[in-house]
Amino acid sequence: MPTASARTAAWSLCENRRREYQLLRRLAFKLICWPTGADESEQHASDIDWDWIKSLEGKRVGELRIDEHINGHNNVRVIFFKANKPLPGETLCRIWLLTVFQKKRQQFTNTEIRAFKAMRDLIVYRHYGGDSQA
Amino acid sequence: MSTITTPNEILAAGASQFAMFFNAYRECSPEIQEIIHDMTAIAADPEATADEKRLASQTLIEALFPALTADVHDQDEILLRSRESQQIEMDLDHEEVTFAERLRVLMAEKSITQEYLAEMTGVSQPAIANMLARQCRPQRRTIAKIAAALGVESSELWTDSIQ
Repeated sequence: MPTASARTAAWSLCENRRREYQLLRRLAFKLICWPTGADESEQHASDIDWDWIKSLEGKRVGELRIDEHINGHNNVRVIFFKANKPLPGETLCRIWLLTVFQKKRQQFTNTEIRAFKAMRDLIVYRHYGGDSQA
Repeated sequence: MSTITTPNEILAAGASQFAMFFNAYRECSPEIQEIIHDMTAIAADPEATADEKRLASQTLIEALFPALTADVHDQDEILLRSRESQQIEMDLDHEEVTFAERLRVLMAEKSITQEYLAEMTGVSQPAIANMLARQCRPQRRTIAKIAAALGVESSELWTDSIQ
């Protein structure tokens, strides 16, 4: 589920080029193949390249590396929050796409990490009643 | 279309925007107001980079105007219904179909199983099955690994348009 921030950021990165946007969308949506069982170490059913963001340990915020040039940009990253609980009335836990951008440094800055955490916390407060286990 | 010319008119327009943002802020819960404080600090920090400010601004808008997020799915649905976008989807599908067909033929020619290919490439067998079923668009590095495992050039597996 992309947030408004993610969609705005994706459009901006793609400079409103539809093909680039739709390609990026398709690649980001490969996260849908996330293992549904409790054991998340099991193999993913897609060839995604991702990691949890270590500075946000336990917050379930990850970075998906996009191995394509998107609108001429390399090192494109999708930041996502993998919820641990389904929303009421849903059976699967949502994966929220928080933002998209071209990563220009090896490490995220503290400020970027603050923004990712804020994006994740917004979702937790708005959709999971502030449940820290969400 | 009117043009703002005097300092008073500029201030009045700014005040009008401020009122809209301030009202949105007052409607937020204390927890979300705290997030807004933090993101405002980044957006106003002269040492923050343009990218950091952009992230903070996106988060501010999301915090202040939650209805925007609710519309995202609909916006994409509308976009994808357009003729231009449907053609793009068909083109992207075609690239994946072509890849899957070429991969299937090469695997059959070389008597290679999905399990063996998975072992050779480090890509999971379910991922390979999904690629063959066109449910997973392969990454460029995956195409390169599969090509190496099959002893062919990447261009034999993937059309040139995105390489």
